[in-house]
Amino acid sequence: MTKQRFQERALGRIREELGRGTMPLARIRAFAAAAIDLGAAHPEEIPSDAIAAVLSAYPEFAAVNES
Amino acid sequence: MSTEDGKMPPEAEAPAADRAPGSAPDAAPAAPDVSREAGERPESFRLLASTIGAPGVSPEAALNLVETYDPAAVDAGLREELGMIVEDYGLSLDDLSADEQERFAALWLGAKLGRTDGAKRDTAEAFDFLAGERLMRFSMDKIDRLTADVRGAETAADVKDRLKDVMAALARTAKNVPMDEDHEEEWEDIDRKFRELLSLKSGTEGEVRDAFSDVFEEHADFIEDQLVTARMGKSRGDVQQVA
Repeated sequence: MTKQRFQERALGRIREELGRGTMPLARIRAFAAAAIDLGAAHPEEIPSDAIAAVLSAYPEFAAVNES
Repeated sequence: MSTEDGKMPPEAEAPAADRAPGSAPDAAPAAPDVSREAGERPESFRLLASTIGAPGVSPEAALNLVETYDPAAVDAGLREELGMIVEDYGLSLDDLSADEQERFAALWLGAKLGRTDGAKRDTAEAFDFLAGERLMRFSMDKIDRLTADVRGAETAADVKDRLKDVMAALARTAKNVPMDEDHEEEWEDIDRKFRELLSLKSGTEGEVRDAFSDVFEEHADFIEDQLVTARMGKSRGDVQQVA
């Protein structure tokens, strides 16, 4: 997945959670940090195993990887 | 993945205390607690959502805003910094609603504390975009209010004081608008505001007219260097009317 696509999808999930307003902000912030770090490590294409590793730490955001 | 700067590591989300009573220490970790914490205000979520969805905010900037957003960090020092920035647009923090102040504070925090250089840069660009767009609108509203004050002035001294305020606000606002094709609309707005003042002057005489002349003279650099140049750029050919 491209960095742009991944970050857009991550942001989409974050927006959902902000709209729902039930998840701790610290958890949402931590996932945003992970998404930034992943994009910094892979500025063009992000390998699927790298995405899977991040999402395993944030299972509540797993939908980012679903088509 | 780095967790420096106090960022919360994922494993910190499931402390031992969260395990189900009686579960074995080596059992599968409990699911993260995904309930909003008691001290977090729903307004913060709403404000953050609207900020990251604003025009000019890239995905990288939006993620950075989420990561750096901390309502508790909006303290007196940060407000002072913000105050200096909005002053460049002819405004004070008091001109902005509480939501607007918090939105700009979130952007400012992101531009300062971003996790990567790219995220900081994107967030700074988003700040510039929103500041230019929103603060310009607020500045124009303020200029309208000040112009109404000039209309309501009853003595030459009042006219002079209030006209000084409106000309200062107009000049400060103009300072932030590049003189190029992309900003013609803004310059037309600024020019229109100044023409309103000229039309007010044309209906006066004596001391009140002198008050207008004195204040316009004090801002001769702004009028002659910027307003006339903007008009010449539009080829309106009415330089004499300004001078």
